[in-house]
Amino acid sequence: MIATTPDAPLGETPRGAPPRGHAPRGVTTAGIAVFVAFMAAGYAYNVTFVQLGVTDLGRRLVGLDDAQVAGAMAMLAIVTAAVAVAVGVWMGRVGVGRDLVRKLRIATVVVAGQTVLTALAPLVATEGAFLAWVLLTALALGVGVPVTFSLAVHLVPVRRRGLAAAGVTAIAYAFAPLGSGDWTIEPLARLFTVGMLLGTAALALLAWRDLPLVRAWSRQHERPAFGIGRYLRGPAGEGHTAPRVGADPRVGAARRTGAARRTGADPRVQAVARARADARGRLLSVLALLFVVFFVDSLGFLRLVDTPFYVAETWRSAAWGPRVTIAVAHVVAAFVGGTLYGALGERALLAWVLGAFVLVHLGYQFDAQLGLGDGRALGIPILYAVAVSLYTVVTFAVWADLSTPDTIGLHAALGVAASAWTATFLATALALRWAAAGVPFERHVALVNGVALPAFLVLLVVIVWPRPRVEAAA
Amino acid sequence: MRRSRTRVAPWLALVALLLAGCDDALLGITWVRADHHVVVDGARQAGALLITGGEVLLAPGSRTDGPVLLLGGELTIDGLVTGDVLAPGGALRLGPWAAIQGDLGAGAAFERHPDALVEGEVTVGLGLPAGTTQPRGGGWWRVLLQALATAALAAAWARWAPRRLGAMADAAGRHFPVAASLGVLVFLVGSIAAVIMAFTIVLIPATLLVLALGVLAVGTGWAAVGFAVARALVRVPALAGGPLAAWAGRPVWLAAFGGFDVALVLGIVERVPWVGGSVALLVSLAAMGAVALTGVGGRPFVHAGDALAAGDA
Repeated sequence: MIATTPDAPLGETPRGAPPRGHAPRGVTTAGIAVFVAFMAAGYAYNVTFVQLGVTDLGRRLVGLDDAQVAGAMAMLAIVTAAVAVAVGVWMGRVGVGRDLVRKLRIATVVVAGQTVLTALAPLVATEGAFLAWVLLTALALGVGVPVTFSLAVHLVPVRRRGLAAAGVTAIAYAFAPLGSGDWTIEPLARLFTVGMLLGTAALALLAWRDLPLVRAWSRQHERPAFGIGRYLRGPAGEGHTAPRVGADPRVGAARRTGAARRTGADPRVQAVARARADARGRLLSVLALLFVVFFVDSLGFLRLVDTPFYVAETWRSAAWGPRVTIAVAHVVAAFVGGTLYGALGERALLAWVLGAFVLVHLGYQFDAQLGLGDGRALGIPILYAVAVSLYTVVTFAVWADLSTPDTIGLHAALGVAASAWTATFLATALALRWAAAGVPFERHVALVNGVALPAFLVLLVVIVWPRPRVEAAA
Repeated sequence: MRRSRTRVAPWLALVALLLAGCDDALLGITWVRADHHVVVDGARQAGALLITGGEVLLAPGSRTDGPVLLLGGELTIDGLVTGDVLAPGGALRLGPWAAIQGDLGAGAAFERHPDALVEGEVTVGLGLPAGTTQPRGGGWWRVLLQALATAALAAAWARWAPRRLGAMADAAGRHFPVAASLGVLVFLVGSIAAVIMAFTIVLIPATLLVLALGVLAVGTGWAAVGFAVARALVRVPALAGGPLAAWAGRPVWLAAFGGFDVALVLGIVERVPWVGGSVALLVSLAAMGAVALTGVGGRPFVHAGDALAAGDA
């Protein structure tokens, strides 16, 4: 059992004054390690098992055509997004965003459920069972996304979020090319079932045992160094690190700032209102930008992995050499991205990261249209790996940095589920539709670039657009 | 600053549109920069071949699928090349067994055996601006010349733009990991863009411009790294009273000294087996990154984490 102080009922954060001074280094390091391990496993599960394995499950084991699998994937995306947003709103309203133990317990239940679903996946044989399986998977994902991403406000200090995100990306992407050359559902299900059983046990230990480490983590969100995201520093983050006692402080703050804007009463409150409006604008911009990136990436990659010419000697090579090379590129690029995430302003960062991605994707089109390579060259896969790792680092860190403990659930839900997941699965559905319609590979890649190039031009506009009044890290 | 970005953006957009419209490019490339390489009898070289230094022999019986671009060094073709061969720089020689199925564009240093076969159009007289590329090699003379050139460049920056040199040195010295990380991105994006542009033919001048800017950026970065090292050495108590301390108030000499030393040390370190090349590459990437981080020294680099740390304190 945890939280044994008299005024702290089971599973709630102990109340009192916020912790002062710096946390012991070991506590912080252990928190980062747990976050990195948990998120890396979750991402590998989502990208490898769900996105690639489900397609194989629907097509090969159930015998659905591409259009039917596309429909199921779209359903998965929509349900995941809807559930995630609902859970994110709920977390903000009841204060779960501040309660580490409750989040760990929810995560344990979610991972246990996903483990059962994973083990059952190879047994799915009918269309009805497949749709039910997809629905339950979406439900688990929808609950899991806001809960797990919001762990960052307890476990990872703001200054270390770039490197933590780099660690998550490096492990997840190194695992993908190294872990399995066979992306069919049976070996994937075996691999993930074993891994997730271990993960469930570890999570249960953290969630239900009264560990001093967990007690220390559960107060860390009250420190500004953990609780106020990098892009909310200054007036926008005011009032968000106080212990949550009684009424939700956001409600009062929102009412006060709304009234202040109308009456023009208190300049300080007006400043808070302006800063929060800027923060909302920044959130929407990042949401839109990353939606496009995920959409373009998935739309292109899903067709690439179905094109033996491009993957047989690279991502799915029987030899270790090409897969190790791609994995190393992922790892190096992840730490490059993590270093830059912590150092640069968000405009320069997004411009570099997304510009590199779009340029690399454009290069794929040239290669496809001319057909000059023989599929063995690793140049394009390496560059692709670098670009993907870079923007993935951003997606792991940015939602926590746009949030406070009270908003992290909703923002993570909007960012990961409503933006990234929706984009990914809608793109997957579209890619399958195009494949079913017989769109040739060259035309497919050209259409992808029809989205990628305008995105690049929009980025250029973003770079030269006047800066907002409130700086990111004032 | 904003005005300059506004000026650059339309050009970047134009380049992007040109890249989208072009119909001849690829990224599956082999890049030869140094040493002697042979594609032996019966071997197949897949994808594009880019040569900027060293010596390459496509032996009789070999097959090269894809275009060949020679910008520096020496290339001897005595096998089959299924794509175009473009050699505005370096020295190109076609042996008796050479067979080129595409077009051939050669610069001044071009030698063709009468039996060499070229199925496409042959253009002789293409050329890079003098001094754009040089065959690598040359041993210690090259290292010495490189060091002298870096020293001169550093002295010039210190003489006419000392604040810019200082900003770049600060970025390279105090934020080495950040500079190296950005250098990786600059190198990647620049090299991809250069390769794509080179194979569009129409953008070859832009490719040469990118290559020249890249060389200049690395040289400037080395100068900045050298200046940072020299400034640090001046503060070492053990060296107080030595000749270096006398240059503390003379940034031109200090920069020249630092630039010379760094280029010399990198030239030596580069030759160390296994790790030498990686170390030199890392420093060069950080040097290029420092130039990019500060906009060629136009603004000091402020680490976003420093502001966060101040807020947390």
